Amino acid sequence: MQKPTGPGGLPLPRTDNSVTWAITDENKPVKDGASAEPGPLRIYNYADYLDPATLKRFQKEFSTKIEVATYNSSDEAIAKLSSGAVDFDLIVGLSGSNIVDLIAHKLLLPLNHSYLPNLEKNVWPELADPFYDRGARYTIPYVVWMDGIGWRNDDVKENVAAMDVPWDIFWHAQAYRGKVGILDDRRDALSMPMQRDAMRKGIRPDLNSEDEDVVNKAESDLSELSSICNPKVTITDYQTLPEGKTVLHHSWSGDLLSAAFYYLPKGVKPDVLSFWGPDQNGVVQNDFFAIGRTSKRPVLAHEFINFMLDEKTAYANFVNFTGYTPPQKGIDAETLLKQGLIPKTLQEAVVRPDQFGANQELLQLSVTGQRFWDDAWSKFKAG
Amino acid sequence: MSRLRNPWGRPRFLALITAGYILWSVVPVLLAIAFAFNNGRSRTTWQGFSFRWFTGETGSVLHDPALRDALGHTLLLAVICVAVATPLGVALALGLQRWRGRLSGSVNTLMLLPLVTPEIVMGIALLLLFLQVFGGIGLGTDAQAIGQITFTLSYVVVIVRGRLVSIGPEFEEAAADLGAPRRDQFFRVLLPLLAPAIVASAAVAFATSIDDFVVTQYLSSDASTTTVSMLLYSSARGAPTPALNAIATVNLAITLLTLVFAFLVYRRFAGRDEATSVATLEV
Amino acid sequence: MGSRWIWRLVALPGVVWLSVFFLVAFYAILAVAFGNQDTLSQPVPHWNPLDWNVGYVLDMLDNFFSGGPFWTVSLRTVEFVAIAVALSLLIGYPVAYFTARHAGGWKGAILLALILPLWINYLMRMLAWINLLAPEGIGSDLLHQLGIEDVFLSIGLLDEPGGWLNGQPITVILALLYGYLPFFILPLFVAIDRIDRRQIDAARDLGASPASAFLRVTLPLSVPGILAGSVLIALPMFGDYYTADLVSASTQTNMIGNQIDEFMRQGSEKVTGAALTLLLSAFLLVLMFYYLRTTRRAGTTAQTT
Repeated sequence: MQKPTGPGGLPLPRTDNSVTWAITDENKPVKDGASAEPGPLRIYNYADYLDPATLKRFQKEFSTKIEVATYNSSDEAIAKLSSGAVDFDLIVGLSGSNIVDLIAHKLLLPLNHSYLPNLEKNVWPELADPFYDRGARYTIPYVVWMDGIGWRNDDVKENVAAMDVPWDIFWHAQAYRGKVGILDDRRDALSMPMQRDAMRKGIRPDLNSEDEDVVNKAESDLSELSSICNPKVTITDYQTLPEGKTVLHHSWSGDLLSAAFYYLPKGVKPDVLSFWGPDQNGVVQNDFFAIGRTSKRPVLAHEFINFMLDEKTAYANFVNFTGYTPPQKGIDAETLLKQGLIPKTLQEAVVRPDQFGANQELLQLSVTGQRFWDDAWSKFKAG
Repeated sequence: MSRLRNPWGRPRFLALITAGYILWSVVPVLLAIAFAFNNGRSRTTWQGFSFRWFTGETGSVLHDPALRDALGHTLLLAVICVAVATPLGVALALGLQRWRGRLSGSVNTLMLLPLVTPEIVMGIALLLLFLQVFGGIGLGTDAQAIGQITFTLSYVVVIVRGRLVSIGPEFEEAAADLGAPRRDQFFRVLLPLLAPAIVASAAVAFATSIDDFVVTQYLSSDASTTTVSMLLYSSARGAPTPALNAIATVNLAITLLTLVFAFLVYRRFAGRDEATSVATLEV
Repeated sequence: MGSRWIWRLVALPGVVWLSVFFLVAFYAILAVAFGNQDTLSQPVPHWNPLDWNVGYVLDMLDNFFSGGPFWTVSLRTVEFVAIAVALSLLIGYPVAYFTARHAGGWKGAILLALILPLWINYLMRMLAWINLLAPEGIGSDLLHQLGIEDVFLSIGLLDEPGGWLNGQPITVILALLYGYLPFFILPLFVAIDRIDRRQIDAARDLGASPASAFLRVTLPLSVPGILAGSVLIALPMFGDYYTADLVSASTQTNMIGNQIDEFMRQGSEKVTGAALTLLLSAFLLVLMFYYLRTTRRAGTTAQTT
């Protein structure tokens, strides 16, 4: 049977179908031993996804400047990048959901690992050579996360984590109407009711489903929420939860830690925030760094990646600001908890390597499959 | 002059509504400006007076590169816009005014269309133009400038045309009667009379460019093409600091100063009523 | 003979500019909407009308006419705009009338206050307003104290006290009102201001009561101004997406502008987005040309005075 193909006719990476991306003659990695170009290093990233202090340190150490442009959703990033009208040196925050888009649109420069000694030294081996990019030819893992539920335990009365199917809380959130949030990302958002459905039935959902019925059911489930609790569709939970503007949010795990580390107003303790993520069948994934194909500063970009892979830097970036776990061998969830850095209510927000196995990743779909998700999403968004 | 009584009740009722509207309209902005000078990080609780968000060491308009660059880029676009739209618009206004012929009506309509086209439609049209047709130019500063010029052009034309209408042909005719050659009629009679309108339209083009959002956002490429409007929009979703208020205040101050200057120039040379009618954008 | 062509030449650069960057740009929307999408989800425009592929446009129209999401969004947009314009009239007319007729010595100052918002950045005004509406904000408090909040709560337009920013349609409508009222009041003021007092005086002399004079002279004479002002704000409102986005990120308040923005900037459905833009433009074309004709008439009258 012919395997479904993705954009541009390229293969779709799956855990049982790993892909090694070709390096072509017209797009070769930069040569060994070159020195870093002068800046500015232009980065394209989610907002608030790189610690400003860490960026400052890089700028100082390498006597250069950094400019960060931001996107609100991976959908927006792909739309902008694939239009071919913009180019960046470093692209941060995209993942296996869009890797084929990036390769198909020829947006990435192959990497030269001689500039990246920290990769082998520090990064979890499973991710240093991922199935969606064997040999890490084009991407380097940045952080790992899971999809779950974040909430204010001082506002939300239910014990969400103790529920049979915690996802149900959204469908019973009438009391929190107007203060509920759903992630503004079509893959994450639509996969949530799929997970709920499967959890109720005790089966494992296929979150990369290309079955139109499955996707449409997810959309109609999600649309039920409009009348139940009128959710906002945003990714700013890391700010709105600490401020109390939202009390219940479909969240990426790191957002809750970021909220606890950086965004809490004075006098509010971090243990008012809680996070729950499923042990299995949920979404556990990593995103990555990639270098723009037309970058004029590839060596500088490599240096930046290597800089971020340094254990101390990765730790500072994580604990001082972003809240997202870097896949570093030396950073241990247990230690963090013991040190009291993370309140008990948020311990599930730290991702461990063993969680990758029982859960799954949101991966690139075929063009027709993607269309189902696109249509469902625009239906949901229309209200 | 007869005393007019309005049917809504006594004038006091209307006065109340008007006062209420003005307060509703202006007070939130005044508060936003006030909080730009807040000592703390809050935008709603007063924590003392300070210039930190304007000139402070960190996170201020002066020292935060993102804010400073956005302001710089906004001004750059505004200057380019004025530099191109003003002469282009003045020429178009003159040409249109004196064009005798059937096409003039259509050209007039073409000129007015950008004024009534919703910004998102313009933004998308230009986006597709720079992606599909002028891929060589692509998105970025050039595209943003071109986009802004395209609709500010219409403002310039409208303002200059208004002035042309009120000047009328008499002065040039008088000069012609006195034997002045065409060139002199134009440069030494018409243009000086037109000057206040040119200044005013330049100011309007400037102000319109500074505050533009949709078109500028659609045609932006990377971080270096962010303007103050775009910054306001993207930062608003999260937890902005008063630095946002500060940059908005600076933006506003620049706009108002430009407009006040232009208004005074216009009034000095053209008379109060005309100046007022321009200020109220009587099309 | 040369003079005829001189002025046309002078106008030429401007005409060329508008032709290229407006007409051609707009044609690009047509070419994309009637074009195709390649395997990488990028639009492939069909420039030749004979080549036009009606597939995507028909899909969009089908979705629209069969009550699909595009219809829902469009209907909601029309509702929001209609209510916002009606409210503009309700608030704006008294203000314009007062300023034109009863302002007396205050006229200049009031006019200044009315003009000011036009020149303040729209986003700044909106953010200032949103800031006040936040649960502990001064605006939210004030609305509570003035009892206005109770009114909204009782009619069910508001979910809970202080919940203005919870994704309520009413907040979006009020925000649109806040944003666009200044653009409505000013032209209306100009129109009312222009009404010849002698006509009203004549009516009064003939024995009409103040109310009657207003209803039978002033109001009818100000109708063109009302229509012009309404169209002037309705047009940008129909394309608005940023107001709904700032004030409420809920899917229940998404307007057609949001839908189009989603397709063009945030997703890979540029062809459908272009098709939807065409639909919007076709709908607005009627309004646009109406406005242009009425103002042109006004323009020519000004020329003859």
